Amino acid sequence: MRLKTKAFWAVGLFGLALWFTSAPRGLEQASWPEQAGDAQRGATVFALGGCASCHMAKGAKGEARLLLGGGQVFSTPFGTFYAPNISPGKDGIGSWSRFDLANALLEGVSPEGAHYYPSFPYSSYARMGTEDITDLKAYLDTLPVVTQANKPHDLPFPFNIRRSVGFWKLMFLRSGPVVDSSEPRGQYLVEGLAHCAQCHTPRNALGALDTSRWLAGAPNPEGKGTIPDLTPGGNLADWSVEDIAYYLESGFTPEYDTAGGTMVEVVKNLSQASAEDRLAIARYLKALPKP
Amino acid sequence: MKFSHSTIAAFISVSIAASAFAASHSPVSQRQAAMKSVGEQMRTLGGMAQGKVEYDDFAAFSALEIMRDAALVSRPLFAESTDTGEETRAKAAIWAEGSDFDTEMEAFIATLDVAIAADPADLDNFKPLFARIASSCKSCHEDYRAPKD
Ligand code: HEC
Ligand code: HEC
Ligand code: HEC
Repeated sequence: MRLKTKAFWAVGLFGLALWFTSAPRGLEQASWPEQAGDAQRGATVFALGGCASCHMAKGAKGEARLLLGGGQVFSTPFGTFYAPNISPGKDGIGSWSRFDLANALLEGVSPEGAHYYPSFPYSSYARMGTEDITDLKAYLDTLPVVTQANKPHDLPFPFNIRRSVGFWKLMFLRSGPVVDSSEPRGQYLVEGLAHCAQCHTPRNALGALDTSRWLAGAPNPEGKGTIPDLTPGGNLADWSVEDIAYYLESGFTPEYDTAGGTMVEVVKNLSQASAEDRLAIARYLKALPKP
Repeated sequence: MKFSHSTIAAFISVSIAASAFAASHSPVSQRQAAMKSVGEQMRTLGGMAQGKVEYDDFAAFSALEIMRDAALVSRPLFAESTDTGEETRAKAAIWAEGSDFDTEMEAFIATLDVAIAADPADLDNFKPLFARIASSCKSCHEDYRAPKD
């Protein structure tokens, strides 16, 4: 009897501890600067961040790339996710403040205080700077409103409980640098804003990036084949810094073959970035430690 | 000058085309050989566009001619879906209802014709023509070529 009560309390306390450790923790509102963003700079942040690739309609071209109504489907081992509407209307994030956006990108926490799933790659965006987020918000506010309700994700238990993401975050959500690099801008872009690792790094059983095999290539979630290894010992061994930068701008490899698959979207976005940013990315990659 | 450009280049392109495409018989390997030749010419042109090698109007002109010939050779080889069991990155979308593959191919050839007719004398004239060619490759591959496996 006594034993049972003890066990009851032990389980109860453990459960309570779990409940608290999994609680969403957002940013401090007070620490967030008040200044308004620069929408023009925000357009570049938007391109580098590749937000349209996931939040526009699949395969959208031209002007339609700026209609961020969501709806794209992401099939993962944890279930099926649908990208939400992030246009500035009432179906989207029109009522959000800059602070709300910062909480989503840096902490993966919604304005209602719930966890987002890591299929929204905030595990990379967590490294974004305050100014970039402020400018990005100013730019998002200039985009067309799309009227389209969000589709609920299709997830099995226990993944359908948002609270479960709390443990994942405790284990895997980091905002520090991943490798030592003397190329700070390239590092900011590759590890953070441009989230290259989300495709080029293999994942562990819990779907988190395996930082011990950073950018060393990964199975292709689109189906067959692998996503190339970007470390100096991998596919880019014979590419110069200029070759990589040119590929990111034009989509042509040094053999003048064209980029394919999901990389096409990445190149479309990066072609809008500055030549200096593309070179910074290339220099970071060339200087990566060999795995 | 123009005349000698085109005669010499035509000679080169015919001989290259003949050697590249005669060896194999299946339409799949023939169209791949033709595309490979397109890619090789693009390498010559791209090196100049990027400033890796100095612009040479004759080399550019011949590469454009060979590229157009290779594109012309490839066009009928994409006419129907032939399942020869060979590795192919051609998507089934090429032969699906509403496909604009042949329109893309026609536009590509027309872009090359314009560049050949312009016979660009220097890099400044060549660069915008090169950019249009480059976007034709990407636009068609994006819709009609499967990614590497
Ligand atoms: C790889 C695909 C992907 C990329 C890239 C991406 N997102 Fe998302 N985003 C998602 C998914 C999936 C969700 C839904 C997450 C959830 O419901 O937990 C989401 C959710 C969001 C939300 C929350 C919307 C809401 O209604 O609560 C915002 C805001 C957002 N993303 C903004 C952005 C911005 C800004 C960028 C670019 C910096 C971006 N996203 C890039 C996939 C992506
Ligand atoms: C959405 C997934 C995705 C993201 C994000 C992504 N890549 Fe890629 N990347 C790919 C795929 C898929 C390929 C293979 C392309 C092909 O088949 O031609 C590729 C190919 C490449 C290649 C060419 C390698 C080769 O051997 O041909 C380079 C270089 C590259 N990526 C760099 C980057 C950089 C730098 C970033 C970040 C700025 C990045 N990628 C972000 C999916 C992605
Ligand atoms: C109208 C459509 C179209 C255009 C335009 C086009 N391609 Fe292709 N290309 C294809 C298709 C389809 C394949 C795949 C053929 C196959 O595997 O059967 C291909 C294959 C290739 C290959 C691989 C050949 C091999 O070894 O198997 C290269 C290289 C290539 N293209 C380069 C180019 C370049 C460079 C350009 C522009 C200068 C270009 N292509 C323009 C449709 C096109």
